[in-house]
This record gives sequence, C-alpha cells and structure tokens, in this order.
Amino acid sequence: MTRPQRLTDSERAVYEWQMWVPDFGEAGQELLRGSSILVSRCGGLGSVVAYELAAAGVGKLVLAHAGNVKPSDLNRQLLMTHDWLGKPRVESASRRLKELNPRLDVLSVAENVSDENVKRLVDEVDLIVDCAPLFEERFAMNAEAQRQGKPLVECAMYALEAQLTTIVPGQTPCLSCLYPESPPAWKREFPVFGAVSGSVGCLAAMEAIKVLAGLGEPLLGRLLTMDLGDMRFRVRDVQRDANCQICGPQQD
Amino acid sequence: MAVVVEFAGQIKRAAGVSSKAIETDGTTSLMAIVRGIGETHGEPLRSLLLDADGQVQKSLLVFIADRQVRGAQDCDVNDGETITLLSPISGG
Repeated sequence: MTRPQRLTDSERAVYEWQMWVPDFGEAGQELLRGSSILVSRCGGLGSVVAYELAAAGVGKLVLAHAGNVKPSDLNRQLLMTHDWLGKPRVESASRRLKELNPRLDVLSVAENVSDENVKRLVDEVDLIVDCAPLFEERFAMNAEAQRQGKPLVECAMYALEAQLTTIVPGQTPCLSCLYPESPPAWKREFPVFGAVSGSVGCLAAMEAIKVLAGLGEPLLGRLLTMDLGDMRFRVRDVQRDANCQICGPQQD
Repeated sequence: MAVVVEFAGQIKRAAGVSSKAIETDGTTSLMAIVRGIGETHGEPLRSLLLDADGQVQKSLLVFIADRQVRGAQDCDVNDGETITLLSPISGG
C-alpha cells in the first residue's frame, strides 16, 4: 500500500513540470515519493524502466539482476557502462540511478528472481515491473504478486516487437491466464535493438506511475502489441482463465 | 472463403512473412485453420503452433479481429476476418 510522502522544497523544484500534468499534481508526486517498485531484471528493458522511474521521483527501487556487465549488454542495457565491464550489473545500475536521483533509495540484489527469493523481493515493494528474459522468472513473480495482491506490469519484447499489459490481482487476467504453460520454444537469447526494449520500457514505467498515482487508464485486461517494423500499435482485450491455476476461483 | 492470418513474434520469423491469406475450402474452424498452417509449413513453425500431439499450443495467443479466443478453444471464423497468432515473448 503506497503512502504519500511530503515533498521537500528541492523536490518540488525538480518535479515542478511533472506536477503540471493534469490529474497528477503534488498529490500524485507525493504518492510516487512514498512508493517502492521491484524491477527485474535491469537489461535493455529494465534499465530504461528503472531510469524513468528514478527520474520521475519514485521513493525506492529494488533491482534484481545477477551477473557482471558483458560487452553484449552494452547495445541496450543503458544502466551498464563500459568502465564497469566484468563488475556486478546491479552496482553499475545503482550508481547510474543515484547520479540521476541522489534522493532515490536503491536496494540492489545481485540475484535473478527465483522461487526461492521471490517472496523476499516482493515483500519489499508496492508494485513489480517484470522485465525478465525467462518465463520461469515471470511466472514466479506473477504467482507472488497474486499471493500478495500487488500489481504487476508485464512487458516484453522480441526483435522489433513488444507487448505490454498491467495485471492487478482480482481485477485482471494474470500471466498464467495468458500463458497457462511455459512456452516451449522461448530461448534466453533473442534479437534486440535497444531502441525497441527502451520504447516499451518507457511505456512500462508510465504504467507503473499511472497505477501508483491513480492516473489515466492503465492497460488493465488489455494487451498492447507494438511492431516497430511497420509501426503498428494495437490494444486488444484479454480474458481471465476461469480455471487458472494461479488466480482461478480455487485459489481464492 | 478466405481469411487473413497475421503472425507475430517468433511465429513471424518462422513463417518468413508477417501475414498470409488462406483459402479455407469452406472450413470455418479456427483450430483447423491453425493446425493446417502448422502442418503445411512444417518446422520450425509447426512446433510454435502445435504440440507433439498436433493440438494447438495452449500458450499461443489467438485473436479473431481484436477478440481473444482463449485456451485453444475452437470457434467459427467468418469470411474476410483476420486471425492473429501471437507467440509468447519474454525478451527484456
């Protein structure tokens, strides 16, 4: 549950133009200031999600991403830097985010989400933005979000295409409604331009802001698909699975 | 009767095209159309659309126009409608 936190004068100066957004204002900014978000992982998508949320003035980010920075990260993972090659990704991410917003509280966890750590990570936050490259991680976050009743922004990309939806337990289909079985053909390595993952990352960050601040109309029960090859964007309704093993009636 | 089938994600890459017009020979069954595409194209498209038993993959997102058809359920497709097949993607 997000609790608004009063802004300091310096924060009002930073977020002045943002607070001009209709229906947001200082009340919306105070809600962001009091909110906490898990971003998993901080790759091409999660880096941009985290950066936009840090810029927008979210109070706390929990970053979960294992491993060290590799050369092949640097075409898209905008929180990773060349001078940090071979060093932990979450350290590079935290450092970059604090450069942008020194007021930000960052909890860096050098682990990918798993069945073992997901409860501990989700306990820390009000909302999750799922940027994981493996469905096993996505399903773990989806199940824990349902258990804790926390919203989950689901974003993903492949080559020039991307998808985005926002899951609110009890209101919308969950990830397992969409994908009742682990997709057999998905591989961790995928074709990616940073501008594609970054595009959907910005949209995902905006979904998180909208949910936390009660702004606009998030993609609840709706799936945005975008193809940057031909620039076709579509929003389609998606349905709950009455027999869903995660959010179906037998789980209530 | 003809319908247009649009492909997205890994399905589009496997099909080599983003869409295809299909003469259905009077067939109006959605699942028969999807199975027909899988069997006609062969691998790697087949295994993205169909499981080992030849049934439509449960994690395939299927839409007729903008209406989702859930869980590999069958329904009729009308002449001129567009079917969209979205493969699950997880790139980050």
